[in-house]
Amino acid sequence: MSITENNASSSTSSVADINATSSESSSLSSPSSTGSAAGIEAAAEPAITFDHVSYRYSDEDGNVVDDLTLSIARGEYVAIVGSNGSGKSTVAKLMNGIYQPDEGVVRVMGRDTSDESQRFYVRQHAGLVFQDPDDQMITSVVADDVAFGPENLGMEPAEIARRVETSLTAVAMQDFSSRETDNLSGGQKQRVAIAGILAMTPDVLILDEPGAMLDVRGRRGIRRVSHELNAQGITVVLITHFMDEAISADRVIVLDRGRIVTQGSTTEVFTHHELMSRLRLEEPFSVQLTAALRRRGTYAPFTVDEDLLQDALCR
Amino acid sequence: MDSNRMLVFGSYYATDSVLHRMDPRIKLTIAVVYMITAIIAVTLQGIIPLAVFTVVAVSLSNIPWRELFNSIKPLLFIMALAAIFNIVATNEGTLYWQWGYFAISSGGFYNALVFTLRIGLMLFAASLLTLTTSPIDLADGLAAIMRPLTRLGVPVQELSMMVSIAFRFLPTFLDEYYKVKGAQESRGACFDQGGLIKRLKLLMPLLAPLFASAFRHAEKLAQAMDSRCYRGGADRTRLHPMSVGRADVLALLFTAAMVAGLIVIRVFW
Repeated sequence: MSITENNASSSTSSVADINATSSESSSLSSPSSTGSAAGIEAAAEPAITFDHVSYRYSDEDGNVVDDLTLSIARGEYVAIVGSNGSGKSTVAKLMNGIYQPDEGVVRVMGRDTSDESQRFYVRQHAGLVFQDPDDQMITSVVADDVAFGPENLGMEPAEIARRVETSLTAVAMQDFSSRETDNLSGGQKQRVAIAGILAMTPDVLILDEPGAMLDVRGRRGIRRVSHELNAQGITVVLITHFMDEAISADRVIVLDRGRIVTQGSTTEVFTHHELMSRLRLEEPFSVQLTAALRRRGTYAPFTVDEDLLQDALCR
Repeated sequence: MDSNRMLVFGSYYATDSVLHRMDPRIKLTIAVVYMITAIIAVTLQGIIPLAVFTVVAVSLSNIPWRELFNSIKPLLFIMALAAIFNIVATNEGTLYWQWGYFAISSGGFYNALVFTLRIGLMLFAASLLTLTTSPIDLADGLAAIMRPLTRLGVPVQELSMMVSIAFRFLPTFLDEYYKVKGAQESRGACFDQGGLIKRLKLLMPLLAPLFASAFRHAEKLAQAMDSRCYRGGADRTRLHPMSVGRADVLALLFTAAMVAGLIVIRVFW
C-alpha cells in the first residue's frame, strides 16, 4: 500500500496538530539554512549533540563508537550511513538513552541522556523506530499499539485517543486503526511503529534502518512519511546503508568504525568515489549511472539529483 | 502468510460487536461461570441452557460459525478421544458387546454424546472469549480481577503485560516454526515419519533455533518498550478504560438465567 497524495495532505495538518500539544516542539525549526522547515525563529539548542562520545559492548571488543562528536540542529534531516559494524545502530540507541555513553556526553534537547532523572524525557523527545517492525508491535491491534507510548506517559484516555488518531493519520494508516497488526504488510507495520513514536510527540524522530526489512514500495512510503514529518518541524535522523534512501537528506554523516569519516551535502559525500569504495558503500544509482556513462565516454555531471542528471543527459 | 493457518485457538478476531465492546472483567467472569455450569450439566437436558446461551452469544459476536469451528478444529481429537473413552468405559443400559473391562452399551453412547457436547461447548466458549477480546484487554481484565493480589506483593500488572505479549507473539513464533521446519526439510529432515519417540527427537533441532529467536525477539522488544517509556504498571493509563455498561449487566442477567435454567432442569426433569 502506498500513500496517496490525499493522505499526504491530510497528514500535514495532523502532524502540526500533534506538535501543538507538545510545549517544547511547537516553535521548532532549523537554525541551519539546510533545514526544510525554514521561516520560524531558530532555537538556540541543537536537537542532539554528541561530545567526545565513546561506547563499547565489552572491553575486549574495543570501542564501537569512538570519540564521536556531532551536532544535529533542530528541524534538520540528517542521514547517518556506514557499512555493517560502523556503529551506526549503536549511535541510534545512544541518541535516545537506550545506551549511555562510556565516555563523553550525549544531549537531547540540551538534556544529558546519562542523567537518570531525564531518562523518560529523553525517550519521549527523541523517538526511536527500529529495523524490524515485528519486534516493535507490543499489542495485536493497531490502535492499541500506537496508544502504548501515551499510556505509559499516563495520559487521559481522551487525549490518548486523539493522539492515536492524529498519529495514524500522519502515516496514512488511519483506516487501519482497528486492524490486527499481524495482517499488515511490512511497510504498513513500520508506519504503525512510526505512529507509535509520533503519539509521544517527539522533537526528534530517529529511524534505525527502517527500510531494511521492507520492499521497495515500503521503503518509499517510509521515506515520504519521514519527509512530511520533517517539513512539519520534526528533526529526522535516518540511519541506513541504502544510499538511495539517504540522497534526500539535508546532510549525510558517514561513519566507519565508530568515527565520522566525512560529512556534508549528499552531492559532496556521494560523489566521493574513492571514499565510497574504500568503505564498501554502494553509491546511489544516479552516481553509479554517471560513472558507467563516463567509462563509455559519455560526459555526465556527478550528482545525486536525478532530475539534474536527466536534464544534462538530454542536452 | 497463510491466514488459515494463523487462525489458531486463542487468537483474536478483530471486528465490532456487542461482545467485543463488553468489559473484559465481565466476560472473564461469565466464562468462569459458564465452565462451572458445563461441569455441573451431566445430562442431555442440562446442556440445553448452555447451548441456548452459546448460540445467542455467537450470533451477537459477529463471528462466522465457520471461523469458530476452525478455531477449535485442532482440538477435535481431544473430543474424539473423550468420546471413545466414554463409549468403551461405560456399562449401562443395553449391553451390546463386552471384553474384560471394556464394554459397548447404550449408556456409553449416551455418555459419549453428553460429554462431547459439553467439551465442545466449553471450547466454543473459551474460543469466543479470546476471539472477541484483544489480548491486551484480556490481560487487563485478568489484572483487574487479580488486583487484590498486589497487596501480597504479586506484580499483577507486569504479569498481565507478559500474558498479553505472549499472545501477541504466538503467531510470530508459529510463523518462525514453519520457517525453521521448512528450512530443515529442504535439507532432508523429515518430521512426519517414525514412532512418537522418534518424532519427538526430531523436534529437538527445531527447538534450539526457536529458543534462540525467542531470546532475540525478547531483547529487541524490551528495547522497543523502553523506547516508548514503559516503566511497569504504576501510573499507566488506558486508551479504553474498562467500564461496566448496559450490555454487561444484560449479559450477567442472561448468564444468571442460564444457571437458573440448569438448576430448574436438574431438579424437575
